[in-house]
Amino acid sequence: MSAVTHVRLSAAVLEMDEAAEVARITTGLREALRSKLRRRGWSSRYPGVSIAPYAQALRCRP
Amino acid sequence: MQALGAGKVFGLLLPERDSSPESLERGRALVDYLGIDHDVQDIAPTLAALGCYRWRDDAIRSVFPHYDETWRSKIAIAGGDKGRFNHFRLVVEDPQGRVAEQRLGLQPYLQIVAATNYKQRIRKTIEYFHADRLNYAVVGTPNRLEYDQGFFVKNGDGSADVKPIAHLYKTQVYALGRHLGLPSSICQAVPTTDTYSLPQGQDEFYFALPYQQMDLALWAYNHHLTAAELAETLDISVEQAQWVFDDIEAKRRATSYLHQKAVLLSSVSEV
Repeated sequence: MSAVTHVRLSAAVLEMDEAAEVARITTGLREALRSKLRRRGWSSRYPGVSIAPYAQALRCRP
Repeated sequence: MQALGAGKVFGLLLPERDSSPESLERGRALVDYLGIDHDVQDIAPTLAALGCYRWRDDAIRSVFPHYDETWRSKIAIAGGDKGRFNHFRLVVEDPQGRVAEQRLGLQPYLQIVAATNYKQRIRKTIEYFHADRLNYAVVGTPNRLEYDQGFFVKNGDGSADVKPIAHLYKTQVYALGRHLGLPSSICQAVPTTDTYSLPQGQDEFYFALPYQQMDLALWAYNHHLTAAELAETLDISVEQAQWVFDDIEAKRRATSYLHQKAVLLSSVSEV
């Protein structure tokens, strides 16, 4: 007895809202670059080098 | 590109001796379509200097002694789709088009893979050179099938600062490409390894089934569907479907180390 008996396996299970997915990836990528990578030490990757140009490129505050 | 703007994305086209010309053409079509700055660098001289081709060819000659640079070659997976242990076969083609193949022993297999892994690792080295130069992040593009099944080279194409489509099945990546209006040559391209001189599909090299079917098999496995349900959908036997499920799990186990960070002998809690 499968756990997903209400879903018939077909190509339809892989269908998605492409526009929504693009928006999700766009937002997620910006967030990853602005926040997550910074928290992982991006700004201090090279001591003495400011993250400002990088942040400016993303139009966010360093 | 939509997330950052074309002016903040840098593309790299890094062909080598065994690359398909179509790959470079598709790369050029993509950077033209996106309107991004890019560089083309032939990495064959670098690979030759490192001994990539020599190490590979020496290993091939240990199986086919007459093999030389005028021949073409590839390796192909076998076994897992038939419920047996996965192993690799070496396929060679001489200049007259005569094809021969033989099961690979462990040592030549390891040496061929180690040598060809130079290709992905040199590309990543160049990517990080440009990322350091520009203060950019490196974006990796594995899809879910590749990421889940360990279809990447550790510290090669498996290395990146962010992997924005790793959650998407390959079928969904193609759908996104069509939605974004990418050139048809890209949307219709058959996935290949583009690593060996003989043409080689990803399914032939690594996966048990073509990607459209592998995506469904992985989805079914992830959602705890039965082998019978997969078999009915793919029009294969229940036994074959179970072999595919077993192969998914075997590849996860065999490649889990690719995802792991280096093991520390004592924790360093400060970082």
